[in-house]
Amino acid sequence: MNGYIKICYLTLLVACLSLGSFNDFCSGESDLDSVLNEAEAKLQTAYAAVLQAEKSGGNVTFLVIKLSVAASLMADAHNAYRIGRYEDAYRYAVSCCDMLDGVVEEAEIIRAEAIQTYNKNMYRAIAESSIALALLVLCSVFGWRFFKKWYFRRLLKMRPEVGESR
Amino acid sequence: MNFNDFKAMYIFLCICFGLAALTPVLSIFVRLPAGERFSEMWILGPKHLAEGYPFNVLRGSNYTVYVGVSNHMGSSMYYAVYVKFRNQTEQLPNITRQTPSPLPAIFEYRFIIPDGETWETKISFSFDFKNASLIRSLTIDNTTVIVNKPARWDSENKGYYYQLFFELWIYDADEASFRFHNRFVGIWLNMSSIS
Repeated sequence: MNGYIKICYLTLLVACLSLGSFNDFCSGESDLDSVLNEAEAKLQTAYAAVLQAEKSGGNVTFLVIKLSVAASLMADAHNAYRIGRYEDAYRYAVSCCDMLDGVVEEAEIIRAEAIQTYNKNMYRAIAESSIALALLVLCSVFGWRFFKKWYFRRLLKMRPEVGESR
Repeated sequence: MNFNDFKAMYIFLCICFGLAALTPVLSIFVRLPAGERFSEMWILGPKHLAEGYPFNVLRGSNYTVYVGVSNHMGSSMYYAVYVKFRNQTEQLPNITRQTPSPLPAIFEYRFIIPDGETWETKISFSFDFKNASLIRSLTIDNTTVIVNKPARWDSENKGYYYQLFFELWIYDADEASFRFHNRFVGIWLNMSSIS
């Protein structure tokens, strides 16, 4: 009887431990999935922000380098995940997230600066063109008047004079 | 030249100077049409030339190729290169239908490159096999992937042939996902000598 209780106790213990490690394994895997998804989403958001900054005319060279390193870490995470090296996959995904910290904010600052510079350049160009056009209109009107006077004076001088006959 | 000729010439000169005066504004508002947008992809042999590609695979040997991508899409692009391995009966990407190969990727590279820039990487690979008709695993850049890929004897070319190929995918920011960019490169490998 005593032996029977011992066997039951051991079976129950093994079952509990197995269940525990299975739960740990499942939660570990879902943790990894969530970290991978988070890194993926963060990379996509950062890329979209950098693309916007670039399209606005900002200098995003440094951010693109940072993004490329993050993308490479993301690929490493997927490669590790594919062959079952889950710890490495987790480490790479976390490194990817760390690498992307502050990228969106930096991209937004660069974008705002680029838009500001664009607007400044646009207003300056409009002002320059307006002044140049106004000067051109004035000069052309006065120039035309001056030219017309000069032309007809020259033409009148060329007219043959008729002498009176006695 | 009569007066009307002078008048026409004067008006023409005024228009020219007017356009010159408007140049700063025109340069901001008028966008010239961009050129053709595309991405290049290539594969080079171990000497970084388009020759000497690995073909006859030997037991325990390491092979090298270079794969490169060039961006001419007009802005920085996020690319993925998926490495796939197939035997002669499995599907390649379909360029006409613009669909990728249905085979799962065994390895991947991801990178973001600015417009007009190039990405290139050296890829080393080797094989572990039971015999020429069954490749057990493929090691790419020190990462071993179990493939268990069987092949049939090709009686026409007298050998067991496999293909290692690289698909180019591009990230579509509007759809927030990668899509096949309709480009792939690959090399044929003759495994007959390992049996």
